[in-house]
Amino acid sequence: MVEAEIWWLIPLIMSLLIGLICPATGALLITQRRILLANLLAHCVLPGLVIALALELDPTIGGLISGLLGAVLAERLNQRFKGREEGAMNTVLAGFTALGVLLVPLLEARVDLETLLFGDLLAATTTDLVRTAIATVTLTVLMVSRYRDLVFIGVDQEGALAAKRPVAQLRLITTIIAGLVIISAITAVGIVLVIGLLCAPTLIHIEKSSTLKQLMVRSSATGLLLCAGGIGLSIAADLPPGPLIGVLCVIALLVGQTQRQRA
Amino acid sequence: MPQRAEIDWTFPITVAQMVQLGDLARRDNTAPANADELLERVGLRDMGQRRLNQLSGGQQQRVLLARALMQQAGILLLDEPCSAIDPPTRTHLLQVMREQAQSGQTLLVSSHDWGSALDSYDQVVVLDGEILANGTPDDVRGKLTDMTCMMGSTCCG
Repeated sequence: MVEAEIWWLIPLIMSLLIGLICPATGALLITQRRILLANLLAHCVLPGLVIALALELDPTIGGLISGLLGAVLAERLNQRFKGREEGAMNTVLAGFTALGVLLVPLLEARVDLETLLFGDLLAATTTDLVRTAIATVTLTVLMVSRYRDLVFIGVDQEGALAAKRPVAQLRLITTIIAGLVIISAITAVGIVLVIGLLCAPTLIHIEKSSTLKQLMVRSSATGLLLCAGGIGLSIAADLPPGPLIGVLCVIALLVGQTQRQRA
Repeated sequence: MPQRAEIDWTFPITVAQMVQLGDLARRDNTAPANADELLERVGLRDMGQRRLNQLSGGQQQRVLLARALMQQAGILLLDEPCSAIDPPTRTHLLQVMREQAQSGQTLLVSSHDWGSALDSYDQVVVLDGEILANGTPDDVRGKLTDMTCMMGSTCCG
């Protein structure tokens, strides 16, 4: 009886947490000019997720491993194809997505591909919630403990290297946390749509924010509203929340852009 | 002090925060410098809370100098510190650099500006794959005049 009454609680908390951490992560990646990495990670987690689910393992581990493999492979190819990085990264992205799709029938995995690609927030479980909470805590710890270094890397990476700051380590940690956040968000908005929640709130606020912290807070607040709006609309219109959040992201970006032009 | 192209000027950061980043490069245990005082020294008083991309190119170059001074290093390496800036800003920057030199700090400056800026330094080394001239500004100017006249170019100085 109680469970039936609070079925909406986990999806609601999930959507709010995702609304908070996705835009914050997006702000970090966009200001480091690494947002393509987020899209790459979002797609490269697919094979690992499918393998882990087929083997009945924790999908976070599988997704993280395959996401990092994709990121490392793309990094290698980027060094090989200097100036054509986008092409190399998109090729890896497509390849890993294709591999994930192929693994579903090959491993006879009981995986709902549509849920992975477009999310199913209403099917979120306590495990998903715990995973998202871990991602939230990890991101918060990184920001609190290494905020100035992350700012330094974003504004002047060469300077940060010359100052002997741990640039490579922080870039790797950021990649891992971005992977964690993305895997957490997949339940809510899916692999294909997560990039909208990572980018749109940051793009709305980036020109008017004076600090990275301010940008992250404002982006998170907007992300929170978008997710709350998406889940509210999904209940009202009986439509899936993931795509609704994706559409709201574009609308918010357009509205933000129009307001900026008026100002 | 880096070249302008290495900085992401659109990054959301205030002028004061940018200067304070120099503290992360500080090696010894000396007390950290005050960002506001450094901004005043480079002529950017009261601009600490502005966003970095709201400043002009010359002002941004002064922010970079303030950040370099924040490091309190014994030797300061400055890569094209006076490139693409207006003459008043250049004069101001050179004055701050001279003050630093007079206070005992060593400044090593790389520059393509071998005109009037020559006078700003104690020692000048002209390089073009090899050392072409080396000495005080007067020595070097004399050697360069001979060389450019020999090559048929307009004499500098």
